[in-house]
Amino acid sequence: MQQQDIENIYTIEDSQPGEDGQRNDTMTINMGPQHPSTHGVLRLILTIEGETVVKSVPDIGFLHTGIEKTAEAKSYHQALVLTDRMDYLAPLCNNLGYSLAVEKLLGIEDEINDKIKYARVLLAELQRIASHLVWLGTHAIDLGAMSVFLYCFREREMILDVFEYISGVRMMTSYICPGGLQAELPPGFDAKVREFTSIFPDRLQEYHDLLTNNQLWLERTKNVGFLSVEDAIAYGATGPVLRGSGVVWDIRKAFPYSGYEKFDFDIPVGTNGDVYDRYLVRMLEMEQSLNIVNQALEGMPTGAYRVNDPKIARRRSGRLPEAWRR
Amino acid sequence: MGVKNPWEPVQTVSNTQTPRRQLHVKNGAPGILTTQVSKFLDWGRSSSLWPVSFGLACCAIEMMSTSADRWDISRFGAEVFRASPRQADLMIIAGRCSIKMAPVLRQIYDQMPDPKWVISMGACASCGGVFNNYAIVQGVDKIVPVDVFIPGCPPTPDMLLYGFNELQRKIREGIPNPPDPLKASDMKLLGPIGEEL
Amino acid sequence: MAMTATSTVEKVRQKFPQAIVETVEYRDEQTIVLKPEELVKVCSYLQKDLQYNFLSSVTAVDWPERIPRFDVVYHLLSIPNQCVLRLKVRVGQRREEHPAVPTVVGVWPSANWYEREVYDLFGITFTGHPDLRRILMPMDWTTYPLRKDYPLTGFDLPEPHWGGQVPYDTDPGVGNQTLRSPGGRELNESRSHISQNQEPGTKKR
Repeated sequence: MQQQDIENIYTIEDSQPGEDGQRNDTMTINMGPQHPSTHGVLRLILTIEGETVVKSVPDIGFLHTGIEKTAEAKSYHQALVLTDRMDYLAPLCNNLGYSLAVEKLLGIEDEINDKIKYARVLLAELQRIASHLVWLGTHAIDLGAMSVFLYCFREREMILDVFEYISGVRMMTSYICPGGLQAELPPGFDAKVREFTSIFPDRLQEYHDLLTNNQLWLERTKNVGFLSVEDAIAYGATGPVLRGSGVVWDIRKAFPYSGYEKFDFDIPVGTNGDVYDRYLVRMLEMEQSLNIVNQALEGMPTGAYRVNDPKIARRRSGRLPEAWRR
Repeated sequence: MGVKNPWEPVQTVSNTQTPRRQLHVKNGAPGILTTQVSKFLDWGRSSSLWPVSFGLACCAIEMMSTSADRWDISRFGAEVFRASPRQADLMIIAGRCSIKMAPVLRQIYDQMPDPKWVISMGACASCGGVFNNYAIVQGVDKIVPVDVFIPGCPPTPDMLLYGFNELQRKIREGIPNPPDPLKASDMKLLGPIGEEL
Repeated sequence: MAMTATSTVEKVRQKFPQAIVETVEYRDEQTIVLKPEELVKVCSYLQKDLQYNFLSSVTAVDWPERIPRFDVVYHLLSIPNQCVLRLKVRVGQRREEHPAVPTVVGVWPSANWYEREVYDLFGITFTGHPDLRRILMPMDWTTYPLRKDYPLTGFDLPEPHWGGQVPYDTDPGVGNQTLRSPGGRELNESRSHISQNQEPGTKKR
């Protein structure tokens, strides 16, 4: 790659006439991989005119970890640990996706009983709330609302306490594994989750009071960052970005997995496709997730926490199965 | 020269039992007044370490938790995470450093003014961690001189605070920075298109 | 009219019988294996007429003992009809350094970065791609990491180096860089050659 090629890709010629025929005074600036707002490493080469971004070319790869290749060298259980680190804000959700795929390949989907499904849904939705809290905290602190960051992390600590209670680890629990869960849900689990769910609706209302109708917030987020419906689908956006643009699409409703068809929840969908809509979609998603957590807590069945096959789920204690005893 | 026995320990000199600053040396070297001034300066430096935000991956989330309200890092002096390395004196490398990120890491380290310290937070920054592969630098101490290594994947915030306190103790006791690995090896850093930085 | 993946396969089979190499159904998932030349035609048909408007991903699989070597895999999703479909294209003849596949960027713009990633990690070029350059590895990287003959730990790099684990028969060099002693020391020599700067108060061995 030569220097000129890079310049051609990344910059707009200065004083190139714009759409209205006026000259542009643009500046090409590097929003480098180390930046407080990029939250992790993202490099953007921005061409800005005043405060409006005219062209942005992302340069990625600064966090390329080679997880795929490493997972090729590991067994299915060892690779579970790697999946925690893919989206590190929601490790349990990654574990769930991976475990479902492995269970489908193994053909043991029917042996996953309701207890496992409910527990997985509960934990995945708690994890979704935790991930959205990080989003809200960092979004707010980037736009200047620093106290929201502290509030969000205060709530997140309660969720991480729940994870520590069940698995011993705050993040990267690898608790959802192919075959079920790694360990039985401990006895005080109900109480611990209810501690969180009892205070969270008020806290969520607090965030809404602080931000949703806040004049400053509206000015920073409304009419900023439009993504139309066609663009969102054409560019392959998923999740809240797709829903914020107006597409009614949620995998939990379209291809229900792990028992989601038994739960009753709504999908928030935006109208405009700007930052404010995506913000509202995620806020409402937190509310819906809390709803699902409550439903899962109420209706949690009893049962084994893991499949009974010793080749898939290694036994903790107890005797070897008959087939292995000589 | 080759590794004859991989089970022999690689490092046999202790990191904590390193020579301390000589106080009250009689032969013309630092006397009582200047040592008091040095002690005061070290106390000041250790009590107001301002980190540059260098969160890369999962450990960055735990670093954010450390700076949040439950485990408050600003009670130990790290009041603000400076965005600009020119205003910071501590670099907490939180997360896995890929080979594309390595020259950036070194450049940010170079841009920090002296005196500066580095905490390598987490297993991936210390030694490559879970990722023993082509894409991750197997320990950022190949690139920057690291003062404190914090194990964990990710280390809980109290572990990070313990490492931070160890660094403060290290500064107060006058332990010098480790030697710079790049100067020792004449390795050159290349930028994103292969040009030399 | 609700469309499922199975009916999609039937329609494609009727319309493009010459393009299909085989179809696979496994665990309720439909896969169509296509010939590379016909890929763009089938994809445009799927996108326009059968409303597969969302490209979930483009990846590749390397089967080192098989000729053709690579499988380029496309996962398609139809949002209006809620069904998924997988397309596979087999490329990579013997001793072919950069197998070529026509690009589907014209059909789904999101394929742009997916195909760049496949090029970066496997070396499969996409003919007609507007901007085929490295995306994840550094720009001047010359090899393709996700191929099966690329070692997981990377190649031997000159000492001292950054990435990849050192295999046991070369000298790691890590210990040198964290030791306090200015002289450094040769690693794994016999203990009589340990350097002078030891712990204060300990005897020299």
